[in-house]
Amino acid sequence: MFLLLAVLLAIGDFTWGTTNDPNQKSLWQDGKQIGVWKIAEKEYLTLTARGWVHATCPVDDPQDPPPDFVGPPERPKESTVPSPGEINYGLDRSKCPTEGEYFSYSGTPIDKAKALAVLGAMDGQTAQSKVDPDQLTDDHQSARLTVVGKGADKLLATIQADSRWAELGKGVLAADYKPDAWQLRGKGYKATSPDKPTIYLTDSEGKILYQGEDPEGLFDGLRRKRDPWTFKWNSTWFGVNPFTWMFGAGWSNLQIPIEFVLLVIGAIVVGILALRKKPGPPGQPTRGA
Amino acid sequence: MQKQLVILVDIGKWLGAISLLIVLGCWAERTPVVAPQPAKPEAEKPARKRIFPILKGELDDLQTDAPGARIHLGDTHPPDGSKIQIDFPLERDMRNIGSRVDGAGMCVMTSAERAADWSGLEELKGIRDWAAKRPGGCYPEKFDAQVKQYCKEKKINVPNYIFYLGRDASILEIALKSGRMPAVSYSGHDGVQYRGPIAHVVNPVHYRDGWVGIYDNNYDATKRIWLPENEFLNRWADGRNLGWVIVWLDPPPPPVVAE
Repeated sequence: MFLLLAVLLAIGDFTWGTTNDPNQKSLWQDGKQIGVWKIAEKEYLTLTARGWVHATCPVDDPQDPPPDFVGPPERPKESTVPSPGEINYGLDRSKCPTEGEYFSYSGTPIDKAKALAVLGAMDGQTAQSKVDPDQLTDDHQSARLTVVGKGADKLLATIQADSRWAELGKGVLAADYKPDAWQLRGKGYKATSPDKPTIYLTDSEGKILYQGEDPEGLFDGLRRKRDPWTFKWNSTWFGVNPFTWMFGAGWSNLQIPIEFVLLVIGAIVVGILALRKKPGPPGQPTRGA
Repeated sequence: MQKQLVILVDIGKWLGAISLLIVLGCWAERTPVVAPQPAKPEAEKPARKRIFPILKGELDDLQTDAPGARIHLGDTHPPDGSKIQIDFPLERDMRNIGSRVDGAGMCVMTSAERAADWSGLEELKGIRDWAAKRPGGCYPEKFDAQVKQYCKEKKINVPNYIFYLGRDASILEIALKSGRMPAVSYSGHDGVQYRGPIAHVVNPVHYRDGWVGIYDNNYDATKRIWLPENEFLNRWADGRNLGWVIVWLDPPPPPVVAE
């Protein structure tokens, strides 16, 4: 019975309708709207309990397809490529080389030595040998700079244009994202301010090395990451966050003047010395004797 | 409100740290020096009996040569129980379509756009549909030319990518290790999704410890084709044809923030 009902529902008629937004067409099934097609974006969205989500358009043959509608998966035609019995899904083997190797970098054909150089792999002397994965650029353990929020792209460009980035940002994987980017969903990255992007510097495991809105703090974090035990009075990292050297960059966002911190530490030392038990007069047994 | 909370938490951290310093200082003052004690011999721990040996420690036995290692259709969990390298979200899925000009497949651009989406290349969103307004079928020079043309029309810079055609899968392996999702050739006849030979490009989402996971753009988006490494390599670059690898060099999604 349920199976029959499911089949009946599945074969219900689909119709396209208009919406208030000229950029969208609504998809209806049995008098109920089940999705929308965004014309400019060429996206189909369906309504779920979580709201509108991207989905595969269920319509096989829309009677009134929206303009520029690219239909649901069609079984690609069998290949005209001369390969008996082979079904072709879009790879034209007739124009592919069958020997040697082909490299291109961003659309420009290059030789293997250059390709390996791009990958930071090997020099030209060993380019003819088999590629050793251990010598290729393996950046999966690189630190990550993630800028999220309004204007993140501009801030990242500013950071990367800074003269310090060339030195401190070497090997750091940097990317900017909009606040609602799906790549960040459920990962703990948030734009703390609606108007300013937030900077995250993390290690490859996601441990935060710096979080804030100030590029200076980022460069401090990068400097600390690179050289954790060098004490620099002229460095802003100490002034920004004196406990960084104890607990690591990003431990606290609180900015407290170094004078205050020195005062507190001095008070603690004086307090300990003052409360320290003085040794008794000569002749009396000492503690632990 | 959130900012105030952050400041409060920070103040708490500072007070905690200062208290810790005081306690440590006092403790250092008061702790008597204790003579070193001879180390106690470690009691021999009884070996723990494994109820489910396949889940703990014996995974090395499950390599490609193991009798049970075979091509199969599965979900997004690798057969060896490890975590999949590329956990591509279902709602971002794209299916292969036919060119609107000649009906030929668009598997190359479909796979390339999915990989670009994974790397956050928003500017390439729509390149598959753009290419579908032209004759289908793709080969290396055409791919390079179409990416260039698309970027020129959109007035954007060509993103950095490597296109490799050959028989050395190292680039593919390292790309997946780095978290990037490549697009690769696949010649089918796997017995689970394709009975016969095909000319196709798909996205590998796992290449580790002898297993390769394939994210196809022709069939069920929730399924992955799992192949032992050697079986995959035979289908990536088969007897007559070189293997394809397309890798966008922009970084993959960042890791989950560790609390």
